[in-house]
Amino acid sequence: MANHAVALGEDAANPPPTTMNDKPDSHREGTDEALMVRYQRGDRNALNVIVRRYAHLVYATAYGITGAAQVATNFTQNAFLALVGHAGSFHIEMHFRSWLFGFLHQLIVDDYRAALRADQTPVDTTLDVAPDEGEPEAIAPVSKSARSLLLSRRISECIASMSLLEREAIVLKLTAQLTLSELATATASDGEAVRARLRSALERLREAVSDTEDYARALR
Amino acid sequence: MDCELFDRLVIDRVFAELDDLASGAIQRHVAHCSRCRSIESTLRAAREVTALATPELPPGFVEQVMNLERSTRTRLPLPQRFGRAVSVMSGYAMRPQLTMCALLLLMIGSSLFLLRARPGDRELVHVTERGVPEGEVELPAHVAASVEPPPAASASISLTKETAGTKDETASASGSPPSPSAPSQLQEARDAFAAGNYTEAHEIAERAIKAGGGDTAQAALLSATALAKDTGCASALARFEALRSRHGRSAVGDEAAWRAAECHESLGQADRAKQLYTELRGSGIWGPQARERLRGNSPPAPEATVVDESTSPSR
Repeated sequence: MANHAVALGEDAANPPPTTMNDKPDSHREGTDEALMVRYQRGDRNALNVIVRRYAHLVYATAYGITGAAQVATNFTQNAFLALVGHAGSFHIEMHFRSWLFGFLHQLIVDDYRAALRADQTPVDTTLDVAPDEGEPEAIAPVSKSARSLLLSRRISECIASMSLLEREAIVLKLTAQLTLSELATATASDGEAVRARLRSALERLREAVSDTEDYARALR
Repeated sequence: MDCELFDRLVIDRVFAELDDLASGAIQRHVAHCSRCRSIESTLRAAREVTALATPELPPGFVEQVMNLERSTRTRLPLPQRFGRAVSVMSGYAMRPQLTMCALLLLMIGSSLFLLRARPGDRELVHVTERGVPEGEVELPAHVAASVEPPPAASASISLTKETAGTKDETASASGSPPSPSAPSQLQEARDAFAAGNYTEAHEIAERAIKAGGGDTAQAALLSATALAKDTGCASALARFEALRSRHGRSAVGDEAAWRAAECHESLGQADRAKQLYTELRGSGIWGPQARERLRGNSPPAPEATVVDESTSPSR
């Protein structure tokens, strides 16, 4: 992962949008599973709907895990191409979201393992983060926007410091909003392992934001 | 609910994926357990504070993916293309309209198959008459026994006649192997007929009929002809008529018709004789003579007949 994990400072210089207001399309055109079956029968328009419905979500998830826009774009594109290549193996009984994010998980894990083999470096599942500046800087009583920006950076740094599996679990949960069972299916893990990763990730996040005003407000 | 179970379920509760029953149990547990209450509140606060960045998708991304999909699909190897085609076809095959249509066609086809006529069964006719008084029978028993079906017919006809006080006579037109002596008997009967020994010819021909085989029709015709020569047309006329009706437009049938016509003519039944001559106008052998008879002439019989293939009997 080290080869494509761009320092957060680079992307932080061009901060991405902070809200996800581009939800997947409504299901006027049919459920995801029905669209996949239509695509299996040769309806390319169904695939178009699927891509439009999920491209942003997959990209945001990939970005959250990798922390680099270009790498996230490549992973998203390859995830949809993997979907196209494996379209014949999809069944209407399968859960589409788990199936789609399973491709993303596999691509990221494969890339990470390939990077390990190429570098012959010890296992380091954390992203490259900005140089440690010691204790987290205290959030002074500044303007609300500045405070929000600082909190966002704290969270980004915390997520970047997590192991790959923890980072993947929390991003899939918070960004893709998969259920716990969907998450377990997508990452080919059992439910207890997924819960342990999420709990560990939340505890790390709590440590990172524990001195912020937002956290104190949420705690109340 | 204890702390161990709480630790297993707390993530589900933080992400609101617990059912009401388990959620209520946790609620009651944290009400009196400060450790678990602290864990739940801190995890929940961390989850609420955490908002992840959601970058914008690069412009034209969807079109790019669709173009890649198009090029990928055209480059698919043959087995995958075949698999995809099978998948598409199976998708259509699973549609209920197609299934109903196939069922309807199956029903129509099976109905046609089951309800169609079976000519094979109808051709096989078994007729058995038992205990019929002799007086009610139109033909004499020995006439019926001598009447044979045409050799070309595929039907099997078994005619059994039992009359009170008389012996059973059964004629089988097919199925029984020909007796080795039947052809020689027929030839012997022909020789006797040619020599003018009509009684002997009649008896030998009758034996040939009982022996069976493929020449029984010719033997029956010879027997009837010899009988006509021996005792007169009246006794043989019924046999000629029976042979004519049984053998139709075959050589035996035509000759039987000719001889029946002659008998009718000799018995003064001109209408019936004319009718039979008219029927024979189309016959290759008997046609010219029949037309001559209809014109009022009396031509000789053809040289070669079934009764005597080499020599025409004198009339």
